Amino acid sequence: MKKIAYLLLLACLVTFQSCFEIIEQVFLKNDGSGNFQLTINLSKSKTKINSIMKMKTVNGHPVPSEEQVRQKIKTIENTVSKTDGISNVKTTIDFDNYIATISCDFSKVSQLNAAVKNINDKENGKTKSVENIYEYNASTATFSRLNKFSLKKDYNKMSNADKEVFTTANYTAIYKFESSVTTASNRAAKISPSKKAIMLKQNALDVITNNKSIENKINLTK
Amino acid sequence: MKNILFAVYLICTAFTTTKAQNLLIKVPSTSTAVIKYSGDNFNKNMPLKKVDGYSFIKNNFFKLLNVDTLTSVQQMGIDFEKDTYQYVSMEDSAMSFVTLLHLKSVPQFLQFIKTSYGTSIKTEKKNGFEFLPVSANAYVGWNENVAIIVNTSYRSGKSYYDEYPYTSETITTTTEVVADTTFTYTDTARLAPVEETKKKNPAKKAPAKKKTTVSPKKNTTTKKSPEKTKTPMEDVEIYDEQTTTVVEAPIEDYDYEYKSKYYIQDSIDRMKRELWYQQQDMIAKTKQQKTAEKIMGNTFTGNIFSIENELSYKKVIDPAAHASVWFNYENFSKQYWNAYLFRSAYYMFGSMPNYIKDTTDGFKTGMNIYFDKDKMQIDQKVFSANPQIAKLGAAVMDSKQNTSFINYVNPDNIGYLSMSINTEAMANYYYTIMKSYARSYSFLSEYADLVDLYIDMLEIAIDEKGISDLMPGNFLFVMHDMKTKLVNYTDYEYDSEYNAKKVTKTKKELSPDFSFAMETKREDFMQKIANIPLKYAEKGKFNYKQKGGYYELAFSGEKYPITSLYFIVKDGKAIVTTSKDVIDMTLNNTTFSTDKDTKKSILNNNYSVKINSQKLLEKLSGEFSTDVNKEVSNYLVQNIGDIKIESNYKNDMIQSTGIMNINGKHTNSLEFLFDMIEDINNMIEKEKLQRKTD
Repeated sequence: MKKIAYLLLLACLVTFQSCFEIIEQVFLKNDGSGNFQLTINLSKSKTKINSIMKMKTVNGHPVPSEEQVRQKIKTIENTVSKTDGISNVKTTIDFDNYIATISCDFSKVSQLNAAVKNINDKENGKTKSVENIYEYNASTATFSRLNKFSLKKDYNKMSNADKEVFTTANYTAIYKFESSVTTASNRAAKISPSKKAIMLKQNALDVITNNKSIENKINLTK
Repeated sequence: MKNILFAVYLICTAFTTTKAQNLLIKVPSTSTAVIKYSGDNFNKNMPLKKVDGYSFIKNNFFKLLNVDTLTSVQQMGIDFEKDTYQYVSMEDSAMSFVTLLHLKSVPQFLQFIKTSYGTSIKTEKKNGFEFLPVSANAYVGWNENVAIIVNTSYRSGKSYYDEYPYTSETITTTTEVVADTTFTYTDTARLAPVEETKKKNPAKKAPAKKKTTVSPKKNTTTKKSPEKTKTPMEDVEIYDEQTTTVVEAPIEDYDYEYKSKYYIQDSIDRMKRELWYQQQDMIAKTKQQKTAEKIMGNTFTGNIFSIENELSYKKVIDPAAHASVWFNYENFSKQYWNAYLFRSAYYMFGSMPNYIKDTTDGFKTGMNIYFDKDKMQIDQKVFSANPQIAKLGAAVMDSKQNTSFINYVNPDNIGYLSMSINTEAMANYYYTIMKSYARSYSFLSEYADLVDLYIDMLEIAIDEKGISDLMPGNFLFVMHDMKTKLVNYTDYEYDSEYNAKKVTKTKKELSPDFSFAMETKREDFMQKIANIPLKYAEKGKFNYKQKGGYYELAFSGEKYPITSLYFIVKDGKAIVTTSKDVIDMTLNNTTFSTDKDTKKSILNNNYSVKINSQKLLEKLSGEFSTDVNKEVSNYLVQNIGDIKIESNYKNDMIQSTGIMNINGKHTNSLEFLFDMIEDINNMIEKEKLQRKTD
């Protein structure tokens, strides 16, 4: 539920047909180690956010101060840093353009799952289990992006003003590999000419309402 | 003689029949709200056949009402071509929403009810009508001509904790039986009803007493109360078993024992609460049915003092309106008080106060709606039968807009709001209202003289004249235009290998161009306010400068949709604007060439609002990024005309008129409303379908 609260927090930053984009990037080596980066780009709505940041609440949700946002990002950075196998954690926040990033190196993709779990435990107090979001099987050379949880119910409970926020939001996933991609299960995903990268771009609303999927099983050359 | 009697009978019958056609006589004068739907809507403005053709009626409206979607409006057995009434009654702790309908075919009506609510439900024969409970809070009654639907909700005002009060003392107080242990949990509130069981097993107290000898905490604070010896806790069999366990258990196990005892206690409490709530539900159901039967009995066979005889209803409601809504603020606040605030007051003041406000006091309001060919008009009237309150209302509206303000309304504006009220009268009005309300509450009425004194002191302390000098009550807001502004933003672009690259792009954003003007007789004070930020601009890191006779707060072009906000105090006006033209105009004493209609509307009314809907929607259209929103916006541009609202004081009432013009191919504005809902609903549904198939 807290996840939804943060989703709403994001929602309250971007109101009335504003745009935002979530970009998830993973570079995976054959040994299962790699680099992860998550970017939230609200730049297209920066004039609106500048105005909203002057308010106490929007759509009934409290508006955090710049300091509160910084602290929240720092907390997440600390939590991720303490996860075994995760190193080189970096976060950035640009309040001129409203772009936030978090990046880290990992030695196994399972450690990314652990990092997500740790963040969830920290925020939700271990009340809710978190499903894995990545899987990598080196023997079969298969990388999977999973998405077991659905936000549809929570979305349906939202006010129309909050729902509006997601109509033009986008989700982009970019996965790069040392080996070449042979097949991808998600038909909306595009494989680069070199076959070393794959990109999937979806409308956030379609993902939330389960009309489109971000799940993808990517087979690589052994 | 016989002929004369027959003639009298005929006249009476004719009169009764005529009166029976008017369902308003069945609406009680004590109603909180009354809604009327004129039969003209369906016999002139909108034939039922056309209503049947709208898909939203069946797919959305019928579904919402749990009505079978195959039902035809024409086959419901209801005569929609005669006036239909709905009213809200708040009596005997029940709030009822009552619908009064004319019937044209009882069998069709019955069929409609049974198809919607199930065929197994049984009709009961009452005195003069048939009665059908369709759910715990919905009841239908009818005779051969009229049907009543009563949706009612009963609130007892009782709380579980009122009946079994929680006493904090009992938590810390141990009993004689289980004395000297902090682990003993004796909550009389939870166990009070099972007190009777005590006498049945007094022997079980004995082992518990041993506990005092083993407890290491026997010297902890304890109060012995004779009442507490009767605490039912020890009388419950489960408790006694627990107590025995406690005695035998080692000291270290107290926490476990306490928790076990607590969980058992908690289960008992929960069960008791559930039973109590079930009992309350049953009481509510019975009360609701009785309320519905009473309303129907009064309607079909009883005498009702109709609201049609009420002065406040006659003054406010126009019988010729296509739809009307009448609302009694006083009744509403009284019932709201009884239903919701009553309990809070009990906890605050320790007694159950009564709301004793004079029911002739306060304002009654009503709206008359007219569905004309090219416009929809809503007239609102606010009336008080109390001469003192009416006088105060008149005094507040005794104001004329400053003539120089009309010069700020540019001819091609998007919209404006002009407001002119007497702020000094408004302040005095509040004192009277505060005194009146304070006297209304029994817990305060006892101290009415003190409350009066306090409000009088407040009146002395507050300088209404000073407030009215600062703000005499004339205000104007004008949305001159909505311009676009180019704004930079950062985006990511990807090469063929999906390597991200930050790029700077530009986009158009709406930049509102508006002015707000306020009349003031204290230019010196307003000038001081405008000057203050100059001192703090550097420290506060904002760009605020004094220029030739005005002030400018400049914003970073990148960050905000507006570039500058200007302030000026001149000629009895304080103005905040985004428009440099308005500043120059004020400095040079020049004016916009405002049209005659606008001038007249502003100067002849206390409130005047105009919105150029088409222009507003056209300007906003750039903000609508999804296809469906663009489509809806285009539809509205083609079909909605300008909106105009005017309000003033006449015939002892505050009267307002709102007009929305309509465009497009609609026979009248009622049809426009139905068409608009249908068309927009279809656009949204189409988009949903499209999203699924993509």
